[in-house]
Amino acid sequence: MQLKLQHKQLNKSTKTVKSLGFEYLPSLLSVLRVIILPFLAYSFIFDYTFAAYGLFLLAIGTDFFDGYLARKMDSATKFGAYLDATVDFIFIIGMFRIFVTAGLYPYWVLPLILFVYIQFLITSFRSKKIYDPIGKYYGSLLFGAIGLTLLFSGQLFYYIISAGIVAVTGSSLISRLVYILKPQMG
Amino acid sequence: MQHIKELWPQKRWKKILLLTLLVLTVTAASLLAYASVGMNKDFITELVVTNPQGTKTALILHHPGLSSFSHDVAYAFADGLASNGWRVEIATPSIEAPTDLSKYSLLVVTSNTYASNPDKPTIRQLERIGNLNEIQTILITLGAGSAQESKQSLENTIQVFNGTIVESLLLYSMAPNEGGKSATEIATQTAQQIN
Repeated sequence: MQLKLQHKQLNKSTKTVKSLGFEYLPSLLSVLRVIILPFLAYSFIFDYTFAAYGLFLLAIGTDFFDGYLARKMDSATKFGAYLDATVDFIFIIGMFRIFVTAGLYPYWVLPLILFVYIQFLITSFRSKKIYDPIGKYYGSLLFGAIGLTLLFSGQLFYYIISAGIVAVTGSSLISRLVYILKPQMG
Repeated sequence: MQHIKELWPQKRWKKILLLTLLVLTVTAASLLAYASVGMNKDFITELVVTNPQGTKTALILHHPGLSSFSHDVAYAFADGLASNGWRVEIATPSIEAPTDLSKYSLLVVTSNTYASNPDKPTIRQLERIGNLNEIQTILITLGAGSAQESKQSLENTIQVFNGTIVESLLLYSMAPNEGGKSATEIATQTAQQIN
């Protein structure tokens, strides 16, 4: 009896959210990251340190809350999931473009990130999802790299981060390849 | 193709959102491209000469950067030197800028600060010049927020290239400058004291 009541209440709140038009809120939060990007880049270039930290934290906040709200409002969709991943990619590639321009990281980091996003898109269309324990956190790891770059400086530090990106990318690609080729290898 | 058709939104607000995302991405990419060019590209300009009858000659290097701040400070410094009897040549870092410093008694290097570092075109110009042969050098590091690291880096670079640092200024476009004066005022007043 209690379960039926909770189910009715949940359906009612979901309908209320949808009838009020709030179902687009998680997607709006995702798009907000692209709006933040040029302001964060500007703050970083001109050494407005605290502004850069604040904007970065805001970007992370939108990344967390867009998915959280979508699940809470029961409005999670494939469109929203792809939008979230695409916006993450735009944000990450934009920030690393600025880092490369400032001479912090080598140019090849950009095509590497682009390649990972493209192969994610292609493999996401497979009916059988690929098990990639590293790849599912790839975006988060790159966000972490951006945060560390804003916090710390020094060429040795940038070398370590670059090496880390290569290591994570390589590991993710290897785990995907192994998973795909495993049935053929018997 | 089928998957893309399945993902293509049916609801009007989702289509508007996608369009908005496209516009925002193009705008962000354009701004980043503009920033990249402004920060890193050499700008070839004609050599500007102030007070051609001056007794001694100074060379001022300044990269235009992303705003007019560098230009304003460089020319304010040039005005100060010219009022003190100097002939001043102003160049932007490029392959056309002077690399033979033998006719100059003073080198003034104006550098923008991007991500806590001196701008690359200025560093490239110093590399083109190579050995500064202990020429008297005045450094003007320009920043918006904080630029101490950049100032230090520029000083180290000049020392590596065998320049003699006479004065090293740090001037801000946004943060307050020493004595509450504007950056151009400080540049002019400093230049007027150089003999």
